[in-house]
Amino acid sequence: MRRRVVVTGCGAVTPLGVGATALHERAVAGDTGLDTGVGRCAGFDPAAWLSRRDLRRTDRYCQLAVAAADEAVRQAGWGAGLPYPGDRIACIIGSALGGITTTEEQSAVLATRGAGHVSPLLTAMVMGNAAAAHVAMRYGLRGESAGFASACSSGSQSIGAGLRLVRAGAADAVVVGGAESAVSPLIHATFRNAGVLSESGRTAPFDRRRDGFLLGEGAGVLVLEEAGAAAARGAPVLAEVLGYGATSDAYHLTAPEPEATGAATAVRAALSDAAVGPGDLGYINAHGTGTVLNDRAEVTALRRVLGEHLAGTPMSSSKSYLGHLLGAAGAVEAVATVRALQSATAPPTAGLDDPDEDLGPLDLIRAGRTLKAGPAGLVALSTSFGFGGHNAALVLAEAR
Amino acid sequence: MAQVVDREVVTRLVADTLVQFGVERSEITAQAKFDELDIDSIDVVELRQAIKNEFGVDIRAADFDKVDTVHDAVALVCRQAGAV
Repeated sequence: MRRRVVVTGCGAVTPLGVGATALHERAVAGDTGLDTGVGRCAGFDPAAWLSRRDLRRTDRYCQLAVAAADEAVRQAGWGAGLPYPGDRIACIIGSALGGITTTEEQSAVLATRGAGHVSPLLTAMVMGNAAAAHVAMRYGLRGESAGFASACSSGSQSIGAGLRLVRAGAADAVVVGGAESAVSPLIHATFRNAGVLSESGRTAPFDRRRDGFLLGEGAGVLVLEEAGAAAARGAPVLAEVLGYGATSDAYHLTAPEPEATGAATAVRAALSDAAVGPGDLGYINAHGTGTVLNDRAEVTALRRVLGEHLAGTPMSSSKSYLGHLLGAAGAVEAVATVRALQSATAPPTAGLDDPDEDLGPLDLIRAGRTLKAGPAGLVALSTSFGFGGHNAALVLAEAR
Repeated sequence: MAQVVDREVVTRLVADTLVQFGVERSEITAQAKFDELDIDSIDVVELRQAIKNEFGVDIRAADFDKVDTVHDAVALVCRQAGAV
């Protein structure tokens, strides 16, 4: 029988605050973490988690990951020590751009002060595996550790990769997620010039007047454990990871394939992996960037797989109140989905006033909503799509 | 660079740099050992960089391997920088 994988810990640092509870409760209440067109983690003080030495040796993306991991690991009850041998615990933290803030800072050092002043730690801070390395070192996780880089689906694919490690017996537990801090003028400029950033400064996925996304920063981390081992140690089970599917469009560097075949295949694969049907979903946490291209392609993909059931499945986008967290998005959205399952309450798409009827019949959540369990219990889907044509879908279910 | 290097200036730079690394200033004495101050190989690389940028002296990593205490580090820099 296949090994089941459960979520025993969740952590998040987002523009809505530090902690998964702030994320869930404020989102359900309809709050937004966006301020003047950007989602910064304004209240996050990394010194609360890291020594002065480690602050010098980490990019902000890594600092966000450490704080989210700390919350997740403590919630899993690992605070007093690891429940499995360290070499049986893997760590995969995704990011689209890694330590881009440090790259920018050190480029300025090179230009203004010269090569002799460039930090010898640049590579170690910028590398896309830095967050995984720091989290692994912090807790003594000696199984496989790595970064996962697939743009805006990095977080989801990190979780999927971890799920597969536990199922395959290559690990008994994994610490997985995503982290990103790429909200500088440089990053704003490139996304604005690419035509995907909201010019109006209001991001409203699925709204008729949507005009793109806003950038946000943050991190989401989950602790996944083999269900039998988690039960044996009396661990709290927050949710179960039922299924995962991932594909590639192999079509275009930035544009989604219009028929959304790859995205649909990923969703179909995730449902099949989870052994649930299209009518079993009680909630969809959509990728929902708020670009016209994404919304159309995503709804096309979902309709191809869910058919008539899509119209009756409550759906919302976390990016409406966080901004687009790029490589952290899928992980933070997985945390949001776990909390929605736990409380049977889903957050709305903030700012959605005028649903785009061209998208066809949809059950778009516009205020915090109580979710109804189906015959298979309460089951949710979280989708992520990334530049490069990466598609990922996770199926999560309430604890049973 | 090109400033007059004396032991006091060197001592101040070494101490200030170690503080930046996270060492408590009160723990920095001449006889304090790098190991006890938790100075690791990355810190030594950054300390050598700071010394080079400040005094124009490129101290080889192999020479720093023999450094045990703050006093040893200051003496090494003074020697190679021709401190007065």
